[in-house]
Amino acid sequence: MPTASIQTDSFKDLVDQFSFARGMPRQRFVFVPQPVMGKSPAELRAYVDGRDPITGRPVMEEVIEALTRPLSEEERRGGRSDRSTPRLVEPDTEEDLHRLFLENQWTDRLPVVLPTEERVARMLAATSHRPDEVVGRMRPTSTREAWEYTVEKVAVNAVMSGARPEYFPVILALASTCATARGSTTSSAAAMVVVNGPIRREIGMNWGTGAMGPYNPANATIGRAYGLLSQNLQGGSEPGKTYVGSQGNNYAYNNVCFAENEERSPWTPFHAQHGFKPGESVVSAFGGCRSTAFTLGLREKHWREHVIYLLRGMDPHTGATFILDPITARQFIDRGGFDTKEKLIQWVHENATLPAGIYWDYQLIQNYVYPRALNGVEPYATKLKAADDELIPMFRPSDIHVVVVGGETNGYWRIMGCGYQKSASVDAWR
Amino acid sequence: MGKGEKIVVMNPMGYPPAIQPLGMAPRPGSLKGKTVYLVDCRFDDGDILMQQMQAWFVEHMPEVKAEFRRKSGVYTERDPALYEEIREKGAAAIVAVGH
Repeated sequence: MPTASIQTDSFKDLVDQFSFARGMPRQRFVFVPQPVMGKSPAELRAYVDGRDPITGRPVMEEVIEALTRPLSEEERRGGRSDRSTPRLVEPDTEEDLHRLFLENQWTDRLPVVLPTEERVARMLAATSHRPDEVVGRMRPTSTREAWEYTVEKVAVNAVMSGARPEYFPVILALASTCATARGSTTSSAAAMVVVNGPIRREIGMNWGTGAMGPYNPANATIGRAYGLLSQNLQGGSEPGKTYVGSQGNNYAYNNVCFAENEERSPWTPFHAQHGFKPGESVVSAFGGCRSTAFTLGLREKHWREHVIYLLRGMDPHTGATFILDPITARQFIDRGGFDTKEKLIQWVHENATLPAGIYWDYQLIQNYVYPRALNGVEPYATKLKAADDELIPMFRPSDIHVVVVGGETNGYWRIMGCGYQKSASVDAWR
Repeated sequence: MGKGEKIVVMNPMGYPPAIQPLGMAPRPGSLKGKTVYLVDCRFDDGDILMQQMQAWFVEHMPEVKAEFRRKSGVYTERDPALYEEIREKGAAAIVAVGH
């Protein structure tokens, strides 16, 4: 079907790259100014009557031309490109190689350890898996092409992050989730990583004081390796092309990597809630980390309201993960009687509510949930029947999670606006 | 390794899939007397933009029938029923708003 595709001008590079990868490098785009969101009908009419900010030509002249101008031979044929990735980089000095890695956008712009064959071999020795075994395929968004990667490719990125070889099975397990830590979303989402089981102790991870902060080599470099492997193994994470986060996100430097404090938690560990045995070593990937709400402890009189207000301050499109210091985890039992994580999750589901009219007016709910409700997808279709002033749940139970971490220096706790992606066995990658 | 000594390191990038060429659809020489579908893919306020474009057709190219449609589902999903309708009844489509 002859098609003219209207894009906003911020994404010129992105759509060019996208159409190249789809085999249609001359796809006919017409650009209007960014943003479209929030503009009045009169303002958007001015876009239509105005000029393409990329070419300077009238928008509608370009639209009509895109639909009627005869095709060139290249447009009729489409584009083919044989791409490959060499195993090695051309030999060079250490200084020049560091410059090359920066220029090629293979790093997070912090210094990296150069992945010599010797260093990569030491990393590979920490797993029984063959270097050429395919681990998975990853993409920056669901609509982009997926790139494939092997155990050796994951090892190269693990070396770059500064990770020690004994961390490698955790990094391989993360890579096997195929969940990217470098999503190309304008919302600037980062990832979060939670490690459970004996591996935490074996490699010296921190689940106590300062676990989500700096100072622990395993927490720091496993999370950084997840970011580096995501950006390189999915085919890049280049601002403007494959990374379009408008504000960016500092969490992405090590993807909030920590271990759960199973020893001081009063509840079932996270991995055991998701089908693994408590004695197994497991890593769990979360995505969409943007908002963080916090408070100190649970007050006797108004703790319920305080928790609900924290949740109402978050966008209902993204799930909520309670990250509780052991002190607060026990307070949730004392105050609310939640002797399992599931009881707390159910309480949050039932009490974190919004008037339906306000819920459906959120932009992200309009973009991602409302169309699904119209298509009959539950529970959204039922929510859509509610009157504007009727209170409806912000989150499904499956969007709410609980993880215990912290060293009990106080009862501070937080809610991370993020979504659970997938868990993978670390033992399977030893 | 000494300063100035050349060393060999490994490439950190994954393996891209092959690109299959995709030819574009032949264009009609003119839209006169034809139906053009204006499709809002449901991202942000693209529906308002496309309704303004529909108004432009009414004012400037009344010989073209400009049909406005909102695609079913999230903007990343296909809408086979609508695409079939466009294939059957339309001569061309304008899709917005990409980002």
